[in-house]
Amino acid sequence: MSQDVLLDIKDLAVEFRAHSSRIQALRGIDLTLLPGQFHALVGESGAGKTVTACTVLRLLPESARIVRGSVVFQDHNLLSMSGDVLRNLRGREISMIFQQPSKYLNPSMKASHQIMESLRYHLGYSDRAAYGEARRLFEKVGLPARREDMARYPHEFSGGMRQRLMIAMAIACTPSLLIADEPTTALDVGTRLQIINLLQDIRRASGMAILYVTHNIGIVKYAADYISIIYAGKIIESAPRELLFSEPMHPYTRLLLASAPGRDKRGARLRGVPGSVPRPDDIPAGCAFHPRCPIAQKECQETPPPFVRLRTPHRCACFYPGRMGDGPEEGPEVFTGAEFARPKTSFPKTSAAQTTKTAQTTKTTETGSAAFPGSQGQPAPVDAEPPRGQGDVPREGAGVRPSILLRVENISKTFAGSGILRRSPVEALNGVSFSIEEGDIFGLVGESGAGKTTLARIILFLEHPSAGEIFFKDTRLSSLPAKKMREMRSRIQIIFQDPHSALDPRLTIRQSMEEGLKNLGVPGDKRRAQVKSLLEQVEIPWSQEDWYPHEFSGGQKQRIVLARALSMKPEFLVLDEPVSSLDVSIQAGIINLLLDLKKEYNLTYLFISHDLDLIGYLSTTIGVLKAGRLVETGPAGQVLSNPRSPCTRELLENPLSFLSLSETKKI
Amino acid sequence: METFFRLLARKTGRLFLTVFVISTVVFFILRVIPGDPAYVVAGVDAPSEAVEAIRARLGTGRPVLVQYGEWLSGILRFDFGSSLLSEEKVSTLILSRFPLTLLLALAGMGIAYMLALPLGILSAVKRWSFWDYAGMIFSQIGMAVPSFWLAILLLFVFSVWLRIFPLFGGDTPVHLVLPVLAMGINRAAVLVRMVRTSMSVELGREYIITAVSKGLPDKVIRYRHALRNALLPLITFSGIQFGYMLGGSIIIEQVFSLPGLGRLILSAIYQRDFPVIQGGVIFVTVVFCFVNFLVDVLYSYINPRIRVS
Repeated sequence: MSQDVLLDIKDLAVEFRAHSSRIQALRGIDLTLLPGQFHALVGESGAGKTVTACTVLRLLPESARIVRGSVVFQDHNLLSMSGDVLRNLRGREISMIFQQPSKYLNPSMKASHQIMESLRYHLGYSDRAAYGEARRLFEKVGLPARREDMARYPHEFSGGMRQRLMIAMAIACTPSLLIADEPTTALDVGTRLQIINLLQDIRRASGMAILYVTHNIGIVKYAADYISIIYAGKIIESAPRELLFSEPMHPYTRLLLASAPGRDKRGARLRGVPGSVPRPDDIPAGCAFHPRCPIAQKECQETPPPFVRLRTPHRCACFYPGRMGDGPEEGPEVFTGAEFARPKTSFPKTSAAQTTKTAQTTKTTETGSAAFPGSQGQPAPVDAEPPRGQGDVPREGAGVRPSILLRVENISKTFAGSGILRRSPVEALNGVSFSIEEGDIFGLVGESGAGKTTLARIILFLEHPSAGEIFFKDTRLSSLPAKKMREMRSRIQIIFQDPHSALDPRLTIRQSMEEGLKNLGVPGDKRRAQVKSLLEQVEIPWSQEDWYPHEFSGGQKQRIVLARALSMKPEFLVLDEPVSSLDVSIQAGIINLLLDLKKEYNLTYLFISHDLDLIGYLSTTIGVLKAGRLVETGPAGQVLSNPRSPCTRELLENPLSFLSLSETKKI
Repeated sequence: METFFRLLARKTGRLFLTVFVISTVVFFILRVIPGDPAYVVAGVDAPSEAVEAIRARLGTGRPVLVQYGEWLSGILRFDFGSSLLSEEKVSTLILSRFPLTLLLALAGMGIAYMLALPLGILSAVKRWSFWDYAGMIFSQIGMAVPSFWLAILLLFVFSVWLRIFPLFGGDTPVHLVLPVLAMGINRAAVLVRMVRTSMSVELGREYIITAVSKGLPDKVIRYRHALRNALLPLITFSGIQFGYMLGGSIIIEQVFSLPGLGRLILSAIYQRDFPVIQGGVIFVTVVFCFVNFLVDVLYSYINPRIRVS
């Protein structure tokens, strides 16, 4: 093995035994990491990212079995190593940080002790020396390092600080490899950037390599040197960052990059990946991606494509690398009319349109000309500004102001402190006012704890505001008698982040959907017909009406929840992070569906998210919430191109967003 | 620290409330039970004038609310009246009998934890091993066998057959070995399962993976990391265990003829000696509540998640 390879994973296959079945978690992973490299392992949930990360340190649960392959670290085979040697390597040469530091830190051990431990065991430090070193590490990762700070317990730190603590722990013995398993997924965009910058600084200073496991393309694009894309337990493409983004070869990579919503894609339909990620106990034969692949051929169904070198160092597991274009599916479908009427500003035009330079329209030799639906007759990508001007004329020109559907006036909410011992009141919202016009998509963006969900709950009258009023079509909600209120409730519906907890696990989806209709007094046969047409509309086959929620994937469940909300014939939908818990490839489909439904039912949306890319993609009006205050509102185009508030600017310029303004300029 | 005092004040308030509620319940339940103490004192065949006279002396003929008021104010002064039969002060009776019961309960708990901790930890660490099965079988049998039956069995084996321990009485520490064992083994059977569960849960938590990834020795991972967290719920449980011990001592004292608080209360019940029953029950209640109060305070002090410095 060449001396300058730090970690070499070859043909690694891992399976889990569950009851009598075997689940193939990894089906032959090939991954090479150089010293000092920031290597991102990118994939969707269930693809095997975490299993790969855990296999390196042999942290797999007992139900896992390594079927074949090797993991070689600095000429040591980690898989055949004895327990003692391995223990000596863990924490000293290879460290790991995890997604939820709140769970991965010992709750009853002082922060300083958790750091000192490894110093004592690996490097033989005395208590005194270890404490001094721990203090230095506290400072290094940007934690306050006074004596009382170091004596704190993990729960006394904020989420970002806990991750800093984990990092301090991991780098205590200056390892040469840090495995980071989604370390920033649970954090806000701002904190996320700080943590990644911290990791980069440490890496540059110490020459430590990082294997960074994530599903977030923004992070990868910002920080990684080298990227490996994993799908259904196999690496399907790996390349240096620039190469991967400029010339993605595997259809999955291309679709994945195209399905991320970005502000630059406003008005264009998201590409999305059809179907859903295969379940690890039911992986398709041949190329695991073939059922979802637009250019799949017969041989893709039969033979798994080898992971081969296209040109140094780009590798890809596809029979037809680079053959698929990255334009939208059925042509430059754009929204017209009211959807994106108002923002007149043009948006940075970018690489969604990186066009078909790689998608050659060459006829392939073996399979014939009609073989590549993706490459032949591929419509021109959306590079021009979508014709959104049409809508402007009747609206602004004729001076007909659309009526205001929802008006939020000066809403404040103070919670009487939570917890047993702390009783200081918490101010969740402070004088928030805005209005949503009929047919609008009002995008409310803000970090966690900014008060987004509290606001949603108040609008749905699940919570009473401490001050202020909500008007729905000029009706003051607080003055409504109970009976009228019940009527009103069906007109305003909400979709939550987690579709799983929104569905009763013991009701079939038809029962779930009929429940609300029953309350509305819809007779039985009509209910059935309505449920049927709604399910069809959200693309759930009617044959699955008697299935239970757990038999559906996350994306399908969110579709069902959406259909249920629609059955109430609402005028207004509050969408509270509706796609945040879903995989990137699934998100696009749901977003497209939301936009279709909006058009069809003439709905108005309040779309709540922490993701400015998403908000920027679909909103007509944007509101930015920061620590309970609405710091900026305005037409989307204006907010995005010419933000007034520094908070908005900070969000916009965060280099982690998939296509932030600053990043776009560079490309 | 201020918040800690607030917690203390709140818990104390709750303690008094509990005692008040229990004392009320105890008082009224005894009034509802059929049987007139005056007849007990005077004898069933006594002439009605004699019974009346005794009633007047005992004050049991007066309105119930008046008696209730006296009862409550008595509790505050640690004055439960006098025994109807022996005419001794109830408080004196209780104080003379309680130390033995307390000793039994504490020693029993000691035995229970000494047996349960190692067995439970071993079961959790080496799951599905010989030790795990041994622990579970012990627990199964221990829970199925009532403590009085175990007590009789112990007496039979060690006192009648082997003649190692005395049969009755409670004068020397040797007398207490069998009763303590009978109580301890019974409780240990339940505790083993709790320790095993608690320890297994902690060993399955994510921070254990972190500890492994840090390359710490197994011992450190098990005892410094897992056990510390596993003990926290057991601390809370120990207060309730103590309650079981006090309750269980009533039977055990009976089997071994030990002159403890349990026997005092039991015989008072047979004799309708209301003041002794009331005083005894209230005393046990207060002790139980107080122990749990201490456990609560201790727990909130030990558990950093609850403690706010």
